[in-house]
Amino acid sequence: MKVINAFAKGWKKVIQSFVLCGLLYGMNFLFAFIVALPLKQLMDKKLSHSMEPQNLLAGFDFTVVVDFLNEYGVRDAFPNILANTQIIAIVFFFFSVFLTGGILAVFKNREEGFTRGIFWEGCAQYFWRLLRLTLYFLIIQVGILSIFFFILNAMTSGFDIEAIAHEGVIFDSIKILIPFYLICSGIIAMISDYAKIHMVHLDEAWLFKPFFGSFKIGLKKFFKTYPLFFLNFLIFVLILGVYWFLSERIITDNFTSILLLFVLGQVFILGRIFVKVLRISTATEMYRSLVYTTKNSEIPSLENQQVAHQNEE
Amino acid sequence: MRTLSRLIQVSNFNTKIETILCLLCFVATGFNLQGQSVLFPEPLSSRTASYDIDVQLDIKKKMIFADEKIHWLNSSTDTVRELQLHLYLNAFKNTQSTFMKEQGGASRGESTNKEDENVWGWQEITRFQDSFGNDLLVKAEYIQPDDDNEEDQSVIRIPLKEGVLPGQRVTYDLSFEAKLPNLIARTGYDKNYYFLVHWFPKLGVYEYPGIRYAEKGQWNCHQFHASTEFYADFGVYNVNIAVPKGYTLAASGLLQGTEEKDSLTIHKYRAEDVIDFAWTASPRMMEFHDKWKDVDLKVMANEEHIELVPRFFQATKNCLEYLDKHVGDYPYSNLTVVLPPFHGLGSSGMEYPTLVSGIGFKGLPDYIRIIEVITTHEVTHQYFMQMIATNEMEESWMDEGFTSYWESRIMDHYYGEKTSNIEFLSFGYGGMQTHRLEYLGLSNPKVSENFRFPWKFKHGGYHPLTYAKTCLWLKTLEGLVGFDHMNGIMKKYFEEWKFKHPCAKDFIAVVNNYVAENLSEEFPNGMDWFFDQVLYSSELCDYNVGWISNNKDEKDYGVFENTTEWGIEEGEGPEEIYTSKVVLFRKGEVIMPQEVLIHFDNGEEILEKWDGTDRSFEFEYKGTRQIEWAILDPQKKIYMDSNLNDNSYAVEIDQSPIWKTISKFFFWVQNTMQTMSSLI
Repeated sequence: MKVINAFAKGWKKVIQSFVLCGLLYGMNFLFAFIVALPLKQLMDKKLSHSMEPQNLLAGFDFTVVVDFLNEYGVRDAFPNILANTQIIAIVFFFFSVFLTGGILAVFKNREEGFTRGIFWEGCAQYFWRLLRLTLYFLIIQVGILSIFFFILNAMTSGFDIEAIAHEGVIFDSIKILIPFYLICSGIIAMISDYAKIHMVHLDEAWLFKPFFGSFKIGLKKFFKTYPLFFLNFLIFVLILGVYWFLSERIITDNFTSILLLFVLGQVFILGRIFVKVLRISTATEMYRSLVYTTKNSEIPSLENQQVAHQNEE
Repeated sequence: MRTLSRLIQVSNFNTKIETILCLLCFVATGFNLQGQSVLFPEPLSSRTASYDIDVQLDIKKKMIFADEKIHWLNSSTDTVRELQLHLYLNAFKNTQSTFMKEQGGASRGESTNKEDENVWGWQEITRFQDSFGNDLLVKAEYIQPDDDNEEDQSVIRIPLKEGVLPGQRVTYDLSFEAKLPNLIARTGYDKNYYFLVHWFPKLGVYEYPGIRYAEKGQWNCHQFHASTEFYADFGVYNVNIAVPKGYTLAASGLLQGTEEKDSLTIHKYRAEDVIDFAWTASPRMMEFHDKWKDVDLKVMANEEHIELVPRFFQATKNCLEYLDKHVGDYPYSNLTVVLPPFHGLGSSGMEYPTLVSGIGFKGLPDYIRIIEVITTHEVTHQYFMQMIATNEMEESWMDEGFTSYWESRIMDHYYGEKTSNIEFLSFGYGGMQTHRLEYLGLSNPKVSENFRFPWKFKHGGYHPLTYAKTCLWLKTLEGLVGFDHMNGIMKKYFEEWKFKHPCAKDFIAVVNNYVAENLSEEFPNGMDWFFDQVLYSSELCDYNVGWISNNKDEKDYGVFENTTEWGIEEGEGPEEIYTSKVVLFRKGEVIMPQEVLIHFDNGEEILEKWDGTDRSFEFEYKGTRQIEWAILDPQKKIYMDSNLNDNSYAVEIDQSPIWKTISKFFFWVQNTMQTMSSLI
């Protein structure tokens, strides 16, 4: 399957499953609301009669923020808000793992489209395996980051200002390494997508096959899988660019414009969620085309594997 | 030759033979002072302590070897029988020096090998003679006037064989050598970059009644402490610096000429009416030149920093322009800004007469204005510390605090009050705002009063209180007397005290005299009350508007004298009458006069005055109008108020700002969560 075909099919599936995006957005909104509510209450309590915050309408005012933090925040309310935020962020992370199982299940059952039954069943069914898989790939990501840090360390003689000619060496080294790091990290992220999809399609308790199989899928057909991944990344960049362009033009000096910017922000968040779902959807389409129709013995054919699995039983 | 003649005149040689010997001595000196012409036709200062130094840098041993002549004028009515000199480099001799103990070893850094003798520095006088050839080193001893730390050798006391009579000028001849430390406290070397400050034996200041707080004549010569270093008499410096050929050099004063000698280049510098002399040398540094009015500006930078050079020039010009307008003339004909290499960062951000060091990094974006902030700060020191030569060792707030105030004013003037330090997208903050955060952001802003010897801030607060709190109360003083009068005070202070040694009481006297002449109606009792609170006390200033009430007057019921009817009061009419109140609180201990702007629903506004003394106070109005809002100190004159957010109160207010803040916070929380979800 060509990249464009997979992209188009994946796009279509996401459109058909728009309820899924709505659900994910709702979850995101709910969690953010729980985090933001205490701050809103604090500001209402402490600043609701003050005229000083009006300065914030004209732009950022450091003094308003600093005085607020000094008086009410740093030693009082903010540590609590920060602690709550950290807890909720961790909960959200696990919840996202949970929801990802549902997303994968929906796209696995492509003919039926989104149904609540398939979604929630997928959430529960794949949670632990997805969590483990996520952990493995996070470890790989940390490993890649460490490797690049090690290279940077070597290029800058351990950031030793005595050993390098000048600080430009550090500056230039970072400039050189960042693109390579982003490419490598992106490849691993792409492979992790295929690992999740492969795991859901194989539906095995053990993650050995999906984990290593995903590397074969991702790397052997690199010129199909990576362009698709990159295309999705470009969609994200496009959404980000449009948001940036529009938000910079909204002067938030009254309630209407603040509301407008808020709505624009929510559209952007929805866009991010759409891109995430699109990434999985298009990768699923690509995966199916590669695994079900492949003539390449290096790529694990799903039918072969399922037959082998049945024979083992 | 004019210089040589003058030196001979001021020397205490009583016979012609001695004069001839002296002449021969000068001629015999390897680096003579020929060609060093007078810079100011009329001395700007008393020139109490002047120095002629021939110094040679040994880059292999990381040492300097020097011959020095000290010319000192005894301005007191005492016969002075001893000298006290700073040997600052001995502060870096070992871990037991007072400097090192106060630093807790931090300046030596964990990465530095303390066992490597090359990281340490020291200084030793090898010869010290008076004009009669008496060896004065015999009875010399290290003294520790501040802390009795016997390991500290940063001050040496030299008893004299011949006392110095009142009004007498004397010359002392000495030799010294010094091992340079690996860069510490702005001095020393790193690789082939050298920054030489506090490098020569330098006299303390002989204070006598009439100078600062002195009640009797005595040397003011403190040990070298972890913070602060400047206090010296004005003088003329003729310094010949021999460095290897190929080294670029910058120094205080003006270059008079160079001379090649074997493998060395001798750079001959002369600085007049300054309190110190610093220099730097490196084979990698390049010189860049510009001009502000008649002042030659020079930036010394390495190749990788060329792109930053225009920013240094612009910041310097802005600073000189502003201070010239609001404080007084910059009299020197040159100013050099040194941008240390990255490995020499330990010498960045420091001030010396006509030579300052800045800070900058390759690729530093324009919107991060650390280059401008630091350059402005250090150049401002040319006024506060250099020309107005306060005692930083005892009253550092007069040096760093005044400089911080002017640095903030200058930065905010040229780059915006809310953007002068950082201006990135919609985020930014200014100079005054930064100092406000530094002081009020302290976990305990009341940790000490301002007026304290720097090394006696035992439990923190030195920097925030010295720099930031002083800046804030000077800004508050500006608010109280007005912008133009503040400039007037500063001009008067500069005119009266330039090239002298003022102390706190001298500045306060200037303020009081100015206020008596120009603002006697507003402040009939002068401004002592102000300084008592902001300088000599550690208390906080905090006022707020407690609440506003608009109560509709009820009809009175009951039995009243001289009435025949129930429940009817005179003046009853169709309009509703309200009793409206604004209640103000003084939450802090500091008392400041306050203004309150009160706005009514009929559009009327009243500016009330309150002396700010009571713990609570109210303004009450009766009528058909209701109060809509009130702002305490609407012009933010009392900038040191610890919380400006509670200085206003509106009965009903547009909640848009809160919604704006929350919606932005909400959006970023959502994005953070979505980014976390992308990791899966």
